[in-house]
Amino acid sequence: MNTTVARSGEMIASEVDGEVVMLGVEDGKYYGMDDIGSRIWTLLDKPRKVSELCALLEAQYDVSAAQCAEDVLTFLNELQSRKIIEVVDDASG
Amino acid sequence: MTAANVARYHVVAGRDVCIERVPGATDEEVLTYVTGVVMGALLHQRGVLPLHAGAVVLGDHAVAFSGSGGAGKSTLVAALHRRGHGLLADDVCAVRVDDGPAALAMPGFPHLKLFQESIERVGMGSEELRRILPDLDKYYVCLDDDALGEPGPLTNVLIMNADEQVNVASLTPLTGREKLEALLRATYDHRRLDGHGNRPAHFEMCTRLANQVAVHRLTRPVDWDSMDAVLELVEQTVG
Repeated sequence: MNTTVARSGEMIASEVDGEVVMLGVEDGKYYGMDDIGSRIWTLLDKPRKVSELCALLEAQYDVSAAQCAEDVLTFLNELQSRKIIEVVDDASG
Repeated sequence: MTAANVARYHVVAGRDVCIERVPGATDEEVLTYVTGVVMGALLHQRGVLPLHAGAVVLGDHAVAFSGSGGAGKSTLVAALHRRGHGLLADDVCAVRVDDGPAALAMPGFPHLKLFQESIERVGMGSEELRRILPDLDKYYVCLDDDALGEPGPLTNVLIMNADEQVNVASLTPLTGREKLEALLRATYDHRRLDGHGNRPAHFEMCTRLANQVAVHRLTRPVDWDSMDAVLELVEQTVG
């Protein structure tokens, strides 16, 4: 939760009607984000700690801290595996 | 790019097209690709967005009709033209997308490519028609140059599909991701974008376009007996 994540720079992101779609520069694939995914991407306009992301999302969505943390970490791992975001500073080790 | 058994085409700097004809390939075969994929590549190189769409002028603006083969783009565009609307494009619709408030749809070739059945249905082509390819029942219907409309602000893109399950035509607005994806797929020869080397530029153009036009899915009955109803729906809602 203390890890800092940031957009990787591998993606060209576009927004239409509040929904985010991205093009991977290297892989040439398109990625579409749902409502919450688009929100997380928008919140990553600068590098943020995972805990900070969760706090911001909890304020906006009706979700428990535990559920939010679990969902966000799963989602961020997915984004990282696709090189959409990167870990800037891993404070856990 | 290569058309098997026909020719190799080299498109350079959005201006020059060099054609290496395969011995035995006919003029018709060679030209079919020129008006299609070669033109698409040329437009990409010029930073102009080629939509796989027909387009007409409706009132003071342009409307494009996209969709996969058999969706009825050419037939609908031909029918609209017969009703007095200026033709802009039949197969490749050149759209200038820049920072301005509106995208601009440009006039293309003054001809339509129609199956015999469609030609009869829209009441065209009593004169001699030229086959597009020897073994295809599709023909060029050539129009006078003054049949072409003026470049106009593109306000609507309709993605057509024919549905066996429906009896009445309908329009469904697309928004967000779905809207952008529809435009990405409506681009001419979009699967070959990497060969043109400008997928990022294309993506940005489609995003800008998505914020400048309304996109709808136009679902029509398979049977074109409903054509008048479809034409009225289009003229009334996006005209």
